[in-house]
Amino acid sequence: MSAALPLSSFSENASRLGMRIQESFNEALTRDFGSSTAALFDGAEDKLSDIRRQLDSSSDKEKMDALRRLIAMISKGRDVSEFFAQVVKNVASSNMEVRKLVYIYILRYAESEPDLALLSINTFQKDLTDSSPLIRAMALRVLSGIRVNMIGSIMALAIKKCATDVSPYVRKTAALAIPKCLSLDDSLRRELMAILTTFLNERSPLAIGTVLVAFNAVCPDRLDLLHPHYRRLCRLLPDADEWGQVTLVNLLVRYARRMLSKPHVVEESAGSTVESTDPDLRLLLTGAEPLFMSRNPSVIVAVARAFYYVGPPSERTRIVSPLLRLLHTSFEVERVAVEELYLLARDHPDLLSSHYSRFYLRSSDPTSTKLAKLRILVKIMKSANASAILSEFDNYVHDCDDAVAAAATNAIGSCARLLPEHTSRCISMLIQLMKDPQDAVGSSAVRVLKDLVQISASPSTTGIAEGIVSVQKPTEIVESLARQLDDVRHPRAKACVFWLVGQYAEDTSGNVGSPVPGMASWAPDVLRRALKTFADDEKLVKLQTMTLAAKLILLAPESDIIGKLGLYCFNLARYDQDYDVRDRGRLLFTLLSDICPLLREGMPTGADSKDSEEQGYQGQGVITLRREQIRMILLQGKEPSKEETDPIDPTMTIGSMALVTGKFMSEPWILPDWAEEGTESSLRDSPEDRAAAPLAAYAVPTERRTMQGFGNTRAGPSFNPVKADTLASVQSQNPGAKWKDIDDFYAEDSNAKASKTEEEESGEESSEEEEDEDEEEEGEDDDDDDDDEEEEMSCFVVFTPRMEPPPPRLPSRLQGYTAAIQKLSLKTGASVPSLAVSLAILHEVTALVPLVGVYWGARTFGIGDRMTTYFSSQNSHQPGVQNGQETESSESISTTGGIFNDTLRKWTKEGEARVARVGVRYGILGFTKGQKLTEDDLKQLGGRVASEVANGAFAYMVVKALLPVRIGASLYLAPAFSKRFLQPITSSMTKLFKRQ
Amino acid sequence: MISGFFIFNQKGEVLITRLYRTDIKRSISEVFRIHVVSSNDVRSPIVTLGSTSFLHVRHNNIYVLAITKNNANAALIFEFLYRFISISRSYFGKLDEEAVKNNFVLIYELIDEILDFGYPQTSEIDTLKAYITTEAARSEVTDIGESSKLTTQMTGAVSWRRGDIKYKKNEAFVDVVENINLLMSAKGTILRADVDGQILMRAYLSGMPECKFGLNDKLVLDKAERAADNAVRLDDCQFHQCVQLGAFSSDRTISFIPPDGEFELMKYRSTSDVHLPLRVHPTVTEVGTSQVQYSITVKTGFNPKLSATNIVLRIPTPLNATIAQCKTVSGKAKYSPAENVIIWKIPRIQGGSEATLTAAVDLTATTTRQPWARPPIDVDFQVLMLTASGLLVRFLKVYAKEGYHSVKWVRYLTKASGTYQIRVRSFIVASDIN
Repeated sequence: MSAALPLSSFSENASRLGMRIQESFNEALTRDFGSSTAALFDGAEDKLSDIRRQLDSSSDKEKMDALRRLIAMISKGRDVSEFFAQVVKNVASSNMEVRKLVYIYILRYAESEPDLALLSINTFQKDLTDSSPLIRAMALRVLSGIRVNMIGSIMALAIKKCATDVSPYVRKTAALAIPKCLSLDDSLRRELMAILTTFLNERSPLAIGTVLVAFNAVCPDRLDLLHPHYRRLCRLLPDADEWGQVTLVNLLVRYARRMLSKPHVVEESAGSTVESTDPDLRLLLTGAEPLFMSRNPSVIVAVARAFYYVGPPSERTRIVSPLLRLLHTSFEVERVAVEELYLLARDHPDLLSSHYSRFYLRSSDPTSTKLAKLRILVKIMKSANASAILSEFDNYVHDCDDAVAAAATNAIGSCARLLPEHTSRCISMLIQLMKDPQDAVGSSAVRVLKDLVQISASPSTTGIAEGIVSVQKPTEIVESLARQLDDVRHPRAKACVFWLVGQYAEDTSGNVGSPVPGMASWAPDVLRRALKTFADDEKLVKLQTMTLAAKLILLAPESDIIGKLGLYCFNLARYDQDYDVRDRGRLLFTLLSDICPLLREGMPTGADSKDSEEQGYQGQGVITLRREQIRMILLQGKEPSKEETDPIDPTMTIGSMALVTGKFMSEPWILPDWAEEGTESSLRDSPEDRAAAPLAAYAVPTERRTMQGFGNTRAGPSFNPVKADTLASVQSQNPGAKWKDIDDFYAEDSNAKASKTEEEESGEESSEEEEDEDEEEEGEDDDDDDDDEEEEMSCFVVFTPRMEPPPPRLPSRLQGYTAAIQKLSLKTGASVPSLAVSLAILHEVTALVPLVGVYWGARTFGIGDRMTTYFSSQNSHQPGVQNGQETESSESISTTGGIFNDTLRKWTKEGEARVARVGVRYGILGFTKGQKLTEDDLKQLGGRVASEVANGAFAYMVVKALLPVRIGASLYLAPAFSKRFLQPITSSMTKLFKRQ
Repeated sequence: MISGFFIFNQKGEVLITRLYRTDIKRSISEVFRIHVVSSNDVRSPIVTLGSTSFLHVRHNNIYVLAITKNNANAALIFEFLYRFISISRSYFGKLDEEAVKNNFVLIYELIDEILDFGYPQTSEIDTLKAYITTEAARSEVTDIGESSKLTTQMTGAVSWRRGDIKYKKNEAFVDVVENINLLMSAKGTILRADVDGQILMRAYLSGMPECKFGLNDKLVLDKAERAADNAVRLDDCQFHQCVQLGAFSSDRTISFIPPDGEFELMKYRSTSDVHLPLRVHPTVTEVGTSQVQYSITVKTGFNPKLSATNIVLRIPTPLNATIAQCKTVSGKAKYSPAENVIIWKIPRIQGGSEATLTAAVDLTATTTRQPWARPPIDVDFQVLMLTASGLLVRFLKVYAKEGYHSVKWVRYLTKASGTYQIRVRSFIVASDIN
């Protein structure tokens, strides 16, 4: 009867276990990411009540399904914040999968539901003490990702706690939480600064990158804080992770610009020069140099930035080939790389001029890349490579993209300006291009020619002008332009030609063949043809046509043809639809009517009010200009347009977005200028340097520390053997010794082990803390407001969750087990003490259950009876043996047997009597209260009591014999037990007590 | 850094949204849709509107977009986007709209892991795979041992390899893949020819073996004073992080402990003495304004034992072309009006032989004289067991404990896709008919 209960509960457990297995199996199936989730994504519009039900269900599978649906809806942009309460409930789920999904949801909606989000904070804080670094890190990451103002200080606490974590992975996450925390609540800056100073001692290459990200966020200008760390950072550079390298290099470059002396050239004897570089700067460059071989383009750009901005000038050549390599990575990276290279080409064209063929355009390049490449080609053009580049340009002008074609045309023009020896070729190319059917090419060719003509004609730009003049006189170019007017259709080009004709129509050579004296023979015809299409031309062309007319009138005011053409022109303009054209026409007309008789005569005298007004002015003769003055107005002072210069923006440095987009970008820490003088080198002396420890010495301890923290991988498989050894040794030590109560023994043993592990852990921590403190003390020298910080930090301590006191060091012989235990605890995610307790409880349970079971079984099968019968049969023999005459030897045996049996019999009798007495006194065991004891009763009872005791003894023996099996079972079940029973109980108890 | 991460499909619908900072709003996705997805001609990967920069990479039928507002390193963001694509591909096989929809939860987990507050984090695929798995059972007791393994992997010196790898047969496969870039002028002069090479390795080796790799690198052979006339000059080599860079920069030996499975060991460039496997001789004649005639010959210039496969020539035609008649003995040629090219596909050409295509393209009379840019002819092909640069693997040694037996395989491949271009010049002949 008594055994029925444990049995039934056991079978219940078994069926539950089966269900769980089934469940997780199903989960594994659904996690297959087949078409099922796609269906979720496409058809997530199910009943919301369904999701609500699923979220409340007890099955993890249902919950996960619901959460997936929610996340699908988030992705589609639907607002599902109404489920926040239900979702947040699941944040403490024991299933990691469910939790991760909940995290995604919380991160999305925490901002809109700050109050409900606070409910989840507790779970994260609990997770921060988890034994797995991954869970600690994840908890911190999600906690810091929740953008709720109230939790700023909690976050700061958590960061502070994790800043001294054993795992670099957690420290890395903690460092990255600093900028998040800061963006949430700026008032925490001081506290975060204090934490950051601890962080700066970071030695793990994994975490250092994010520490510096935090530095950039908290105090980008406090480069002085880096003094003692500078050299270590330089040495860490090659080992850091690639994203960290980028941050690291950029920060070190800033540091170098502010704190180190600029590399300068020192004149040595015999004219040879030697560059002197600060040894600390050299350290940075040496550390950065291998990174040129990185496969991450951003690292290459960052290192190029370092060499370009802080390296000595002679080492700039090193950045060329890595940057060129980026041109082949992908077309997006190429887009970025061409801009970096353009900067290089602009400032140091010599570096790139021999690599010109790398910048040839591919027909598949996007427009922006093509344009940038063209700009580079123009910058790096030298007489050595010009002819090759020019023939490339000739190809590019036929590009189907107008912008590229126009840019190529302009590039030819720039070539003509910059390299006089190629000017003639350029000009003939441009004249060819003018006739190009592609409007963009034609018009830009004309404009480029206009600029060239102007430059050559103007006396100010002598060098280039000579080059051009030596080939072709400007008027000749203009003449050829004028003759090809019909081919020019683009309005801007046409306007350009008219302007040029007007400007250079004056015939200085005194050619007699010209129909109009003092004017080039082709000029009047240009005006005639222009006027033919005047009505249909664009405004721009009309304005230029008028200017042309005005200039020609000015050159030959007496000429009949020109006068008539001019009059016709101004008449057309007067009635034009555009007021600009009308205004300009009136202005020029008035200006010229004084010198041109034909205009004066042809002046209309209409009844128009405006005209009468004009006439009024004329009549009064308010303003009358002489011909020279008009000439001054119309022809002089036309400066050739300067070649467009790039705006030099300080933010446009290598590796900045501004360089690529060409727009000013605000950034709090742009590249600083070189400091006048470098700071004292001794500032950068750090304790490690003084000890002259090489880099390897740093790396190794870090490694070891991490290995200890998480249990060596190799210790994993050896876990079971170690356990077996312990058992074996326990058993081998004990056989001769008196049997101790196994339960007590085991409880002691596991407790001892648990305390051992704790000791070791905290021992390690404390030793580390000591180290950190030492470093802090050393770092204090450069911290002015250190005292304040200290105070604040002590305030923190009050609020920090309880710190366990460092227990005494554990004996060395036990250290071997700690790794295994830690490993186990890490595996299971249960803390060591709770594991130990659950192990003890389980051990007891596994002892009690079989004890009762075996006892019951023995009773059913009558084992005790048989045993007592056996003994009693021996008893019955006993007198016979004693009575019979036996040999000495047999006698001695029988004597011992006799003594044994005697005692046994005596015990049985005594026991029977006692049992009978007790039974009579209380009316149990089949006696009635106050019954007189008879011999029969005693005899009957005698058999029963003895067999019960024998049953008990038998059960006890069996249970003892099962010891190894039981230990195995309790070991196996301990983690699950601690998770399912102990932890809920503990948490509910703590809650209970906290409330009180 | 990165303020937001998005994935769009081709229609501009948002598939994945993750904002990291408050400086942008969720509605910013609309801006991208309007300015990039729905506008036809934006091909620039960077679009800046106001102070916000949109950096995107197009992959299959999706846009992967990162948005930033500060003066970040654009190369870094692009690299991150590419890293995301390669990680996704190794998780899902391919990355397209279908894959994103099927795996959106996993993608959220992934981007939270590799991008924290907009700063890229660990992106080693192996490490991530140990942490974020596609099996559900992992959070239970079963593989918690992984987590400790992972932390050592993340923090250890050899982050790319686990210590306990075992194979029955130790094998290492080396693939040398060279991609030729060629730009040839219409006159047949080489404007630019260089080789981008990759050495891919698939290592199935037990334990922690150290490998040494030897190439016919000119610098090494010259130093050893070994007479080698087929040595190759390698420009900018890039290595996988497992290669000891210090050793390479001191004496150019390539030694490493390989990660498990497939990885890219190194990348190199070679610009000198590039051997061109294929030569294309185009003759284009414009007859009046109504017809263009093509005669194109492809010659192979390598050992007759080898052969070039999957040769595809894309011969551009004028925009107003109507019909094209193509005649060829080898392969198939077809006019594709949508792209304005004649596509000539040849499955295989032996070394030392040649193939010819003649085609006549009829043009319609157009009123607007649309310019024809005469884009270059583009050739794609691949040749097995040939390196255009002449690179050879001299040895691959595996050092491990005694009795360690390993089998090594080497394969060479030269290919061109989209980068082997020959410019065309057309002769204009007065039409006989008109």
